[in-house]
Amino acid sequence: MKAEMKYTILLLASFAFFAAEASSQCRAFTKRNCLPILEDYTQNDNYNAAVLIPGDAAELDMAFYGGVNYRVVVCSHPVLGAVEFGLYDSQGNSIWRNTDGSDHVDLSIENTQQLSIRISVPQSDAALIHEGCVSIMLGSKD
Amino acid sequence: MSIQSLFRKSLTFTIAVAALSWGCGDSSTTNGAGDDHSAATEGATLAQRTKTLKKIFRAAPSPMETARIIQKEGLPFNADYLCNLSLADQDGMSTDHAIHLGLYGADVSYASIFQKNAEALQYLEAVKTLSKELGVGSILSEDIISRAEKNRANRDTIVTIVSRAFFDLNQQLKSAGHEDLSGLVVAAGWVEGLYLATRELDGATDGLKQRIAEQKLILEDVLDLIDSYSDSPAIESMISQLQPVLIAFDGVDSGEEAAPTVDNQEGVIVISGGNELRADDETISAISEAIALLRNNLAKAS
Repeated sequence: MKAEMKYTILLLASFAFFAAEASSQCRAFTKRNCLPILEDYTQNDNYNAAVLIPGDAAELDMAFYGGVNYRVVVCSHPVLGAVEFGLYDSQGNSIWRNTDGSDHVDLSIENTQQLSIRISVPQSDAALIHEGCVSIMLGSKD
Repeated sequence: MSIQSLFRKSLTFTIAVAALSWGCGDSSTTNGAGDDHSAATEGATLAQRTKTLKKIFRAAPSPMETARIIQKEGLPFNADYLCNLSLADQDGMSTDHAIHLGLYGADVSYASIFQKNAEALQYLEAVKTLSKELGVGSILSEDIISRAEKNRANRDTIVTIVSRAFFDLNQQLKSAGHEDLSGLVVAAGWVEGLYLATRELDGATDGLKQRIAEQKLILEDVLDLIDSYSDSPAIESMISQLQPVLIAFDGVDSGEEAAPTVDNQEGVIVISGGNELRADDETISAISEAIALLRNNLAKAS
């Protein structure tokens, strides 16, 4: 029984280590690779990043102010392939998709409204499945 | 297979994957020739799971965005409406510090946007004090404060420093598993932003009233965000305290349903149309009263 407990603790500690390591990598990745894409847009306070695997999806809903220019950045680790993302209105209608493989889109909004950013990580048939960081960054300017 | 054997195999597998992952790990401290390798590998490891998921992120416009649109509607700056700086020196629980940090975050944003840089620097110091209390003092190092002081006449630099600090704060709190504290910072920041926007309503323009009415959408974002951390008593308390404000917004008219139209203008996606939220004077007054009550409660001594 004692031995089982020891192994359980070690196993849990290993997973905790993994989670902390992945989180730390995602923070470093975001700072180094994603933040610069915002250029002169003022970044929003919210940190939205996660470690995803092929086939995963993600979504962020937020109100965007009218009369403000925004840059939406979806920045992902190259190991995940060509991550797709799109913008949808509050009714779920598609507004824009990154069919050109772009990692960001610039928006000018007339009236304050709720928009949804939907992301999908392509499936992979690789033998070893990698996970990678995906960050959504929002910037605004006059 | 015995349970012990199963544990051993699981542990061996975990350690093996850890060793492989370690080789692909973060090398953020490397520089020079090592940078290329680091940039190519950080943020990726061998997958720890095979089952796919859908991650839902929650976010809300920052106090800096709100301050910017309020300023454009002609609202004057009045330092008397800002929180007392003594909140930073009060003892309290981490949840109290997080709430006060959110209030100060809106104050420093408001002062920065209105180019009241002396006030902005005072509140930045207060933010530094509180962030130390929460164990995330590194978001505002002496170097950053010094850079802010040297650039006190430059609004854009101050705005960038404040925005970066609050992004780092949010990132560090979430990464440390303190999502509830990050939620309290966001909620308190929204409360203070709306409080400041509703202090001088005599002669308020229609534009300002519309901006206040639009906060109904932002409140929904804030509630969605903090509701995802609702197992925390402090978050439950915040949700409960926001209910009278939510009720005050009932009078906001969402206007006729109007689908937005989209146009691509030289690479910029222009979204026109959509509903225009409006509120009459009675509703604006109710919102102003409800938010003042909540804000003054959050800003009082703990």
